[in-house]
Amino acid sequence: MSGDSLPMSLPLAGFATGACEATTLYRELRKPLLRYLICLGLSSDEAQDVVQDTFLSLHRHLSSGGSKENIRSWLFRVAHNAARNRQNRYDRRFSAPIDPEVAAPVDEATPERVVLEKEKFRQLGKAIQLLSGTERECLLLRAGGLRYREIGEVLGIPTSTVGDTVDRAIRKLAEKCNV
Amino acid sequence: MCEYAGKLIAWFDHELLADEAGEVEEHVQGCAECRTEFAAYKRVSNMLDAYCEATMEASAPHPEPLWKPSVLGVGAVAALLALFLAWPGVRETRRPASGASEETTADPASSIAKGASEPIGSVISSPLRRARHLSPIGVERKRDFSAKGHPRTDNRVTSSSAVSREDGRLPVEPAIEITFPAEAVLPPGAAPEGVNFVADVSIAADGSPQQIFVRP
Repeated sequence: MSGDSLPMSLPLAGFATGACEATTLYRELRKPLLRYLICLGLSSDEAQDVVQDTFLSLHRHLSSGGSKENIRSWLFRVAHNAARNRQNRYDRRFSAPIDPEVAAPVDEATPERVVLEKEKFRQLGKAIQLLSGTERECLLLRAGGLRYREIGEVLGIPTSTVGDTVDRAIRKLAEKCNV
Repeated sequence: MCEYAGKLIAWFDHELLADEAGEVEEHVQGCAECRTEFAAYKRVSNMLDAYCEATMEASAPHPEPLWKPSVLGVGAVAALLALFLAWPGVRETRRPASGASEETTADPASSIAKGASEPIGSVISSPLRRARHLSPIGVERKRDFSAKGHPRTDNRVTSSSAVSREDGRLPVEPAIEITFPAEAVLPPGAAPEGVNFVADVSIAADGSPQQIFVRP
């Protein structure tokens, strides 16, 4: 079953524990998580599955008294690792991470502007493909609203390295896209 | 290259300490080169956000539902239910549920609308509401009470929990099921007489109908 359904494997006891936090986090982070996973190269269905599993893990984590600290990076890390485990699809991103042809501009503008935006997106898509895996992941996590410290926690690298990586990646994109 | 150039992106991301950020801000105001670079990074950053958003939208298998606003969505479902129930013959199409009598209520439309909205409201507080043991239990309790006190209970919004709990398992069907005749949605003659549909309605995080699965 697709959509946002969650499997029914939770015990009733302790279900309410952490449900409130889980609700807030779900509302806040479901979309950024989906976006991150899709931009990593997962299909929409796969991303939905991973997000469901991630929030199920979150619920288990919270109801078993797990730490609520750094919960955003916890969620992204679980989702990131789950995506990594779906190795086949995840690997696809190295060859064709994001299809710039498919990613059309979302706003409704004049035809000229749409063409221009499409061209910009195409350039950006190409430039993103040329980035290293870590650079791309850093940028995508940053686009998901994570702080450098959180990105470091997700990817298991020092915060200072994240800063350097983001800096380098943005410069590369700015150079390639001539903005 | 300006010595502050390496701090512009971290500054833009609010990742610098307060005093360092103040220093960069002061510098940027007087440095045209940094201002130009900063503007470029900002554009790239915004474009990247838009690109990610567009990528996600392009990969979405279904368009956004038209009835996304939760109140409107719930209202629309309630109104549809009322319409279906007003249809002749709908009284015979109910799915039997344990503990519920077969009598027809005096005002099926209003009671069904009430029945439809209450379970929705009762599960709205949890992101895990689609773990379906939450809502059916609430519905079941309500029905049990009404079955004892008031035989004229309405079972058209059937909770599956009453049925599935009989064999000791947790309910595995959607929170709300609505049965309505095929004539209500298909032109006359398109379906054999007496054929009914069952709609399984699942409720999204924001209270809107996330998924309506209609089966014969």
